[in-house]
Amino acid sequence: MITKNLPVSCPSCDSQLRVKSLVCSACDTIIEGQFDLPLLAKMDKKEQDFILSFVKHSGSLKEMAKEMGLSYPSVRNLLDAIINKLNQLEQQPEV
Amino acid sequence: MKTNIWNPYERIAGTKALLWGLGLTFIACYFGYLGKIHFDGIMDIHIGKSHPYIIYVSEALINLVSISLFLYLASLILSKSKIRLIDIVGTQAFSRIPLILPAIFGAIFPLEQASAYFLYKYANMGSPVNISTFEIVGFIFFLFSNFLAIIWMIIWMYQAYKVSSNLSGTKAVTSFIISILLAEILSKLSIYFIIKP
Repeated sequence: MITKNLPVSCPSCDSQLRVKSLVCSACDTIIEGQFDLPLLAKMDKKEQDFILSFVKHSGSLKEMAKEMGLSYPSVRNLLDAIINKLNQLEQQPEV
Repeated sequence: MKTNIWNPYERIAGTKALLWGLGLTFIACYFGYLGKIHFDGIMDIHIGKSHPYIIYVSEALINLVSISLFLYLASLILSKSKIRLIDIVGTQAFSRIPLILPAIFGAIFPLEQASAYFLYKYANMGSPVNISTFEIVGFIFFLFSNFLAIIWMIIWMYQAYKVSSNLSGTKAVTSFIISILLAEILSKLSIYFIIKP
C-alpha cells in the first residue's frame, strides 16, 4: 500500500501550505476556508517520527539512542534541531 | 547503519567511547614503554628516555584531561545544548586511538640509533652514528605513521567536539583551535612540572 505523506510546503515556491478544505468521509460534507496546519504537522515526516518516538520512550534519549543505533549526543543534537525548527515555526507570522 | 570512519561519534560516545579509548591508549602506552615513545603533549610523539610504564600512562592521562577541560569549557560557553562531560571526555579518549600506530612501530623498530643518525646528518647535532638499512626503513615507517596518526587524531578530535557540543561552522572551528593551543600549553607544562620525564 502506498503511504501518502501530507505535503507541508509548496512544491513550486516552497512556502508553507494551508488547508483549504476538509471533507467528511461518511457523508461527503465539505468545509472550505483557510486553516493553518497544526505546528507538528508542519514538520517533515522524519521529524514527526522522531517526536513520536520521543514520546513513546517517555523522553528517554538513552533508550532512543539504543533503538536508533546512534550515540546519545547524536540523538540529543537531532532533538535540538527539532526544537530550533519548532521555535522558528512558532515565530513565523501567520498568513 | 554503517559507521562513518571519519566520524564514529554518530554511533559511539560517552562511557563506551571512554572505555575503548582508555583501553587502547593504555595498550599504546605499553608499546610506547617498549619503544621509548613518549606522547608528551596533546599532539606530540617523541622518542625519549626509558621510564617506568606509569610515566607513559600519566602523560596520556594529562593529555586527555587537558584537551577535555578546554573543550568542555568552550562547549559550556558557546553551545545552547545540554553538554555532558562524559561525552567530551569519552569521545576525546576515543580520538586518541590512532596513536597506537606510531607506538607499535616504535616498539618494533629500534629508533634511537636512527634518530641520532638523522640528527647528526641533517642538524649536525650529536656524534656520527652508523645504522643499518633496517633501522632507516623502520624510522621512515615511524615518521609516516606519526604523520598519519596525528592527522587522523585531529580529524576525530574535531568530529568528537562537534558531536559532543552540538557546535558547527566558525564557532566550532575557532573554539577548537583555541582549545587545542591552550591544552597543548597546559599539557606540556603539566608533564614538565608534575612528571619531569
